[in-house]
Amino acid sequence: MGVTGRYKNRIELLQGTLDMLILQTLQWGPQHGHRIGLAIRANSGELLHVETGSLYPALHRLERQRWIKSEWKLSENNQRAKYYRLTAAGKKQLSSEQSRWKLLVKAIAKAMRPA
Amino acid sequence: MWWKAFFRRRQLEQELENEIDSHLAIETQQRIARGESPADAQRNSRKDFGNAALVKEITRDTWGRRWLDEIFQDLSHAPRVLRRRWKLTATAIFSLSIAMTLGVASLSVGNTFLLLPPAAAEPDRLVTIYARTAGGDAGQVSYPDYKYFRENNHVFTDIGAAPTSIQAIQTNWNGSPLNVVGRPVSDNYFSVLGIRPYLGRLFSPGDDTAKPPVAVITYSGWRRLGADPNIIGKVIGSSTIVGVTPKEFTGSLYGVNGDLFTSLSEDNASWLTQRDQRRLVLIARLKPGITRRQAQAEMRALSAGLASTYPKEDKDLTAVLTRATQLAPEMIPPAELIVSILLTFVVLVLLIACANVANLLLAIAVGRRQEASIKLALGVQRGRLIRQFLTESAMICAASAVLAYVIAAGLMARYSVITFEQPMAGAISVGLHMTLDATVAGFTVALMLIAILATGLAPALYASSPNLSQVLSGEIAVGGTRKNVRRNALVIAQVAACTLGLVGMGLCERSLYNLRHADIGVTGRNLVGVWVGPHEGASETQGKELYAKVHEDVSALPGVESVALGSLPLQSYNEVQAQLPDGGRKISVTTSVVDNDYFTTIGIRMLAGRAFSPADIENSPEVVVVNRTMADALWPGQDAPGKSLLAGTPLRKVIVIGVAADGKYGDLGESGRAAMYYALSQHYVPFITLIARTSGDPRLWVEPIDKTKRALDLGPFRPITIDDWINFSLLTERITAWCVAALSALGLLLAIVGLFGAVSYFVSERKKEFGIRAALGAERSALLRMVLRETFLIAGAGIAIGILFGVGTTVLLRSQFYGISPVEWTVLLPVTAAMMAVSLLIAYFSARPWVAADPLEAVRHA
Repeated sequence: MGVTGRYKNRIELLQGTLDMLILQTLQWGPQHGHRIGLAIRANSGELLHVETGSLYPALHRLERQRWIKSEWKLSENNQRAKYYRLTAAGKKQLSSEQSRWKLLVKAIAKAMRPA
Repeated sequence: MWWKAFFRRRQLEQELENEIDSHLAIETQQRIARGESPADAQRNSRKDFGNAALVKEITRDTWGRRWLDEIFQDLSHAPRVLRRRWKLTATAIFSLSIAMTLGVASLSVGNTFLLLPPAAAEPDRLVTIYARTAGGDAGQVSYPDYKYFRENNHVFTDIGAAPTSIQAIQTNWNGSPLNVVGRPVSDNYFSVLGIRPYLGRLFSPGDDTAKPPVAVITYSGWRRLGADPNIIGKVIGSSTIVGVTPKEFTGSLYGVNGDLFTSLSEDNASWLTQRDQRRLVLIARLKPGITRRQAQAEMRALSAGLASTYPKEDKDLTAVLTRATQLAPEMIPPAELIVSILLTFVVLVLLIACANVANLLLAIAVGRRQEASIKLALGVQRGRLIRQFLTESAMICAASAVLAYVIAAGLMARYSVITFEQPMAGAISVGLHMTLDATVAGFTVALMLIAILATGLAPALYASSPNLSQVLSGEIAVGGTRKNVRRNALVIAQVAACTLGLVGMGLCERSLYNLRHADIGVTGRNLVGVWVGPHEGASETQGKELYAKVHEDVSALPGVESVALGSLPLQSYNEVQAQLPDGGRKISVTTSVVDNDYFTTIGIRMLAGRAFSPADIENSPEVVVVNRTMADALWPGQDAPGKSLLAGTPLRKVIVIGVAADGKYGDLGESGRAAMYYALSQHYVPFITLIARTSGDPRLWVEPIDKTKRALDLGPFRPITIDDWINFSLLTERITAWCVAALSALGLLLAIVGLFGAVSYFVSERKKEFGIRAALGAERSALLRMVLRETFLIAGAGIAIGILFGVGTTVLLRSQFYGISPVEWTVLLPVTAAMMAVSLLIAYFSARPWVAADPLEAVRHA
């Protein structure tokens, strides 16, 4: 389930981080799959390109975990789209993932640049 | 719930579809906004999205339950496959459903007879009570003892009673003569069973002595009389009908209900007070929480009390409890045996059917090796493929099971009321309430599962392991490969099972033949017998006069050579104790009361001494004739005539005047039973059989004798010839033989279908080989001979195995047959020859078209 940057700067997304990125994206409001993909790309400075083959399974998985909920709505361009929104459980999950992530970054940074 | 999951799944599927469409639409719109042409935008957004089918596939995985998906795929795929091969499928379903119908039907019949009528409430708490004699025989209970048990026990809520005998009641119904079969029962009988009436009411306390007497008609009897809804209050015989039993209540103690339940008061009253007149079998309901063992202990104590209070009558008698069924206590073990034999046969037929279906599926599998190998090459897992094949056989089995269940249910409904003819008493309607209950449904499902595994696994394993290159290149399959071994094993099993079935049929028929030709101890063949008895309440003097009169009147009929009063062979007599005067040897003997002409009329040889004569009168010393077995048992090596012994209840001294040849007294299968004859002049009985020897075909005298007897008002029974009587006594054996024969015939039919299929496919698979052989100059007859030789070997192996099992079965069940040796050549040889002939014929006819094909065509298109 690797998510790969498509261009020169390839980054292998760590296992499980896509879920966190999606939850992170959704904390600013409900969004549909297409926009979530674009948002991750934009927020990562075009470094992360999430493939549909990873994005949609991830969305469905998160929904099954009841961290996000979906409903069909009209988009700003008057198109029907499936909007996902964060649930209370999802918010909790996001904060726990955030703290875990910070810990991980700190740990890896330490390991890579020994004092 | 899986079906919810199923519908939810379709919804999810649809949503995913929409979601992807909407993704593409948004992307396209944005691309157009950026200035791409609509066509380009659409194409590029699709390209950008990637493999939509793959995305769907991966997304679906996150929903879980992929196996469910695959099962639905298999389930929708299987009917298409089966429809394409509908002939094979139909044959398979036909075979399996026949076998399963048999299974379902025989289990229901067994259920019906071995378990209590379902109409009874809480049948687990019902027990039958009978009196066991010192010799271990199941006997009846006297009315005074019954009353004692009823009043003094603490373990039953109540005890009901019914005589084991039935009554034939001759009456008029709507102006025409009618015979009905009546069963007297105690007035608490229905409340013990816990049965509610269909119409009117059932018996209640006080009905035992109601005047005029009341009766309850059975549902089947009510139907036979025209299902009159206003039957309550009408009079049948001398009893007023007060109610109708429910349809489900079809049997009670000692078999079927007959037509009418009468009250006990109908009978003559002497047995109601005498402790040595034992006529009743009891049915009792255990109090809640009391086990059968506790109840048995209590009954044993009560019997011991009775035995010490009334040593003359009740010594050595113990009240014994058994599970309450429709059968008499002593009938339960043989009935269980018969049912288990039948079920074994059913399983045998089922196995043949399974082998059939397995063969047919294997044949389908052969045709699908190409499909299988392509699928395997494309990366389908082998397990998945096996599951697909198993789904197909499961569908066949499920269809068969449903069909079998429906057919069986239809048969049960059709035969729920049977009217059958008892030759002497006339028509009896028998209600058989055969239910397809949970046990039977469970059994059907079990049969189905067995069938699925037995039929599906081998073909599935076979078809899923093809040698890819071999199949795709149309490689020649030469005989002797592993799969042929597997196929041959199936055919051998089938032939063996079928042979075993035929051996069973042969044994039954042979045994029946032996019984029909067994020596019944009488030389007379042109005999007609009829039960006669003076009307109820006639005195002994009146009875004797009537006997003399009927004797005289029948003797006067033209063509009647001789007339006697006594018993027909095979007409179970009274069993009494006999012992030497010094109290030494003690045996149980069967007794009969006969007149002076009996031995000469019926043709029983006197071996020593004399028969009864006019000199033996009421006041002269009581004399008896004994049979050889009895003489040898009591006085081995001595002359019996002149000896005396004690016999009967109570024991009385009698003198032996003659020894007669042995005969058959109870049933044709017995041998060496001790018997003793009393003289009618010294030993009046209110009921006897008149026997006439005629100068020609005895059937011609049935009518005249009937007329003569009717004129004297000697009861409702019809005369019967001795051959019909013997035939009737073989009813059980005939029914069993008929069932086994029908099952074997079905087995044979199925085996023929199976063999035909097996040989056809075996040959068709090798048509390329045959083509090449033919092209190289092999004669067609030589090819045919080759096929026949192989069939001979395979069938021979099957027959040998079947015969071996047959001999084993014979040894195990020999006691159930009559005059059968362990290796019964008269059965084994014909069966062997027939099976071999059938196999070779099938091989010939199924192989001929293939062998006759054009060799070049065969090679090209194999």
